[in-house]
Amino acid sequence: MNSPLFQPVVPKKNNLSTDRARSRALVVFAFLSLGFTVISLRLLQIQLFEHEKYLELATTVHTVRKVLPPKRGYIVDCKNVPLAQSFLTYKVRLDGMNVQEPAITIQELEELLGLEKNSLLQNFRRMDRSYLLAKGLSEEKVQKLEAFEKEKLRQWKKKRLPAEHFLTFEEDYSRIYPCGREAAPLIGYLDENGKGAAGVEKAMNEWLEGTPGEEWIEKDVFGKEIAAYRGLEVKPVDGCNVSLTLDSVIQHIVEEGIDRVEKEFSPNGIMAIVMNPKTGEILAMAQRPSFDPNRREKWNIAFLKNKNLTDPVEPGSIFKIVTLSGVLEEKIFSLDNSPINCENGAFFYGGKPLHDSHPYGMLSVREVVMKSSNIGFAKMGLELGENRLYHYARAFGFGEPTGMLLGQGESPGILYPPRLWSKLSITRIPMGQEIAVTPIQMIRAMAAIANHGYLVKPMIIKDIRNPQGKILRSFSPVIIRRVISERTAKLVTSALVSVVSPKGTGAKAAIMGFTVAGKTGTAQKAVHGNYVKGKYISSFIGFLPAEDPEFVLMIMVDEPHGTQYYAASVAAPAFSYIGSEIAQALNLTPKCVPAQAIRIETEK
Amino acid sequence: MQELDLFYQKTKKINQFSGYLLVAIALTLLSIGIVALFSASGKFVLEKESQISSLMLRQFLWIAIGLFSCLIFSLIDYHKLLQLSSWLLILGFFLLILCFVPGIGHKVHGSSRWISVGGFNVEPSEFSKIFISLFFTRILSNAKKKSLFYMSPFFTAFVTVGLFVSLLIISGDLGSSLLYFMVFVLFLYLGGISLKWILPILGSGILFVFIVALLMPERRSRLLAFLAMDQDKEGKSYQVWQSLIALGSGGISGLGLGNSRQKMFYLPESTTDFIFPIIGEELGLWATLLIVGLYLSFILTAGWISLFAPDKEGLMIGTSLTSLIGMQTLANLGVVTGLLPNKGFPLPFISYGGSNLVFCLMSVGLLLNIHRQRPPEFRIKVEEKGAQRSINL
Repeated sequence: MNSPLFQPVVPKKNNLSTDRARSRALVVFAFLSLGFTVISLRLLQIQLFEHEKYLELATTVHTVRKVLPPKRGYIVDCKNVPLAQSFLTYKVRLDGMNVQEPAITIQELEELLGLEKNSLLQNFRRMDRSYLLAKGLSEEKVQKLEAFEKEKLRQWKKKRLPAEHFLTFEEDYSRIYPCGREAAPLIGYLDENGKGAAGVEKAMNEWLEGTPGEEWIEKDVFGKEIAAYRGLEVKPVDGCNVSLTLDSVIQHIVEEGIDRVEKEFSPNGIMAIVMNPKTGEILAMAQRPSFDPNRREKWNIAFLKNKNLTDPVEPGSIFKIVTLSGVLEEKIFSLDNSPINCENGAFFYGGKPLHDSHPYGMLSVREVVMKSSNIGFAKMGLELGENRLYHYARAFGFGEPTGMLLGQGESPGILYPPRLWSKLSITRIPMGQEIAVTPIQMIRAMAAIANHGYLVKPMIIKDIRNPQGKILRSFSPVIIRRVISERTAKLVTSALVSVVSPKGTGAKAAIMGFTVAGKTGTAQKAVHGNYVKGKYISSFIGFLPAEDPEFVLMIMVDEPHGTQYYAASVAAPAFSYIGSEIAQALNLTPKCVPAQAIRIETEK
Repeated sequence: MQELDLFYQKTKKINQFSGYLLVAIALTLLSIGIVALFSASGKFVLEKESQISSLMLRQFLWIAIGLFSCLIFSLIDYHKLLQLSSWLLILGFFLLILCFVPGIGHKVHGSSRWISVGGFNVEPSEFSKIFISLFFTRILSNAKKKSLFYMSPFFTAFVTVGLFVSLLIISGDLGSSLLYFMVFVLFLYLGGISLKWILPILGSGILFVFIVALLMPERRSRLLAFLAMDQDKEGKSYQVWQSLIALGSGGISGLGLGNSRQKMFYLPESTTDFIFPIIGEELGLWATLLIVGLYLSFILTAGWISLFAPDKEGLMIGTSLTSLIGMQTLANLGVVTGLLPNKGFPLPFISYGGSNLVFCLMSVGLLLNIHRQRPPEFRIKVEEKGAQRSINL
């Protein structure tokens, strides 16, 4: 292959300068080789020894952990009517890096989201790649925002600006309470982080909240997901649904009823509970003042707690049922054959006078109950003695929380042991002074009488179901103990039926077609240790039908304003109209006249 | 140099194959480059219209041009090229000036290093490296000691390199100007200048480039960023930092071919100057060490060929071209591993971009040319085997 261009040269004789150049070239190559050795060592350092460090850096730069929120379980009543439910909304985040012309764009966003002017612009940071703009957005709003983003991107493309998505939408759930303020303190509400903060929401939070899922996403430098590298993805597990024993129909009746009381007497507060005496199931629990869980901005922090559980009050005469049960169980008195001298309205004991509202002479035990004579009960208490009275009060569940719903700050009430009692206590406690009870304790005690002497644990949670409807846990009624014998329970009931007779204090609590057993209570409120005139708690507690009680209803009206404050004219009528509607709602069969007819009659 | 001759005699057989070896290494690196480029450019398919084909097609075309020039340069006797070297140098200088002519010159990031020819951007400074090497060889290989004009060829060389370096600095290509200067120093060294001169010249040259770098605001910030790297990860040293993340996160075995995360626009220039970190991220330490090993073998083989050149001219051309490729490789690897300040050097044979590839393949051609002309005493005597005497690879 002898091309004309290529003529092999005759090698020149190696001279000194060539040899020198050759050895110098060798030095150059040695230096180059040294360079490659250095690079190799450096690579070993980066890729082998510092690998962990850089891998961690790479992961933090490339990957984003996205939490997928679970759907919180529903709270439903005993007929599956939702009391608290979750629905899908959206969170929207802003990627500051991809926003062009921020002054204009952010202002338009503010308008679109209905925010105050410049409120967003002030917080806008270019480096913040996921600024939370708003949450709880509806589908409709999201569509509007998407349209806005699309339009913006189009404009920027036209202006030859980088056009990358700057809004990201995340699924989120919002909580809504369809019944509004009805039973709100019992159902509770969520805190800012979506955890139950009060009520059933708090007590059952673990079941309701579900397990969040997560997603690891790798992003390119513009924040766009690289779909091919999607890593771990765990689907969220939705929360369980909690069924309550509450009946929203009865709850509604009670709420309307106490609204009527509120209108009529404008009291400081009202508390009302409806309970099934046989099982302890709470059918309704209401209070005034209350709050609307859907309108957080209007909340008054003082109204949020469930006062039926947390606020002990002096029960007054309604506590007399405990004394009565005690003396009858101990057979100290018989119901109709043991006359008690009621001292014509003034009884001195321990140097202090005790008054009745009306002076009475000799009364049978039944009459003492009917007239709610304080002196009569003081004497019963004296006969029963301190220890036995304390025993019965404890047996009826006073002085300890009922444990109906955990985490509510339930009060045990105030019941001192006899060694702390004053000399007067034995005449005051039998009529409901010097002790404090919570409404839930009181209604439970009454339920024991209605339930043949068995004390039950009040229950509100019926069962827990998974989202597919399978029952995971079911709660059954708990009987705590027998407090009084069945015979005594019957006797007490019979005495309480007399209270609602036309001559009794609770005459106005009567419900046509049903035998009602009940007790009035008008407690003078104590302020700084002294009873104050004009401040009363007017209450009525009763159950029906007396023969086979279906529900116990208690109404406590705190400081009714106006001329009427006696339970006989404040709480008893309310018991009557609320109770009659509950009886209808529960489909109870009236003894003589159909319940429907009663209403027509009363409306006349 | 009795020992050296003896050594030559002993290594005849290795000599015979060094040409093949050089071509084999160059082709292996080219293939690695094609694979890496396919991966690194894959993101464009996701992002924009099918840019992958146009990018790869361009590269294939450049490879074809490069292999063709390799063939040409291996066939034309380098002594003939040496005779033409003055003209070639003037051509190179002219092309460099063309970069500044509006309409022909192509400006990127404020530096005018490119000429636009039919949609292709050509970087004349790459080709001029060969021309200046040839020119230096021509004037310096026969510099006689003790001659009155001993200094004159060195002075010519100094003026020439000064012209080129100034032009390159004006065009904003500090990296290349440094490389040109290094070539100048290399020739002084090979040309037999006393060692006591070399270091001051080298030092003052590098100092000069540093001062220029400090005077140019854009370069200064890059240089300062290098000196205090960890404090400025988002800013000027962002690229190098991302490069380290890519290499480091690849680890020993890498994330797998095509799985680089950093190429998703985290690491800019991932198809050109910063392609090596992407390879390191995807294929791991084994691949990076293999590539470094291949470059080292390339340098050693090319060096071998240069040392066995038939004359001083061949030795000088071979050494200078080998050093140019070697220094450029080291500069690139030094930058991506954070050892050197950020200067735009492409990785020979692997980076996307035509001019440098063609330069490298031309150099391979010239080295083969030198190899083919190795003196008979370095060959196995073919006549003895009965074959006809020919110039074989």
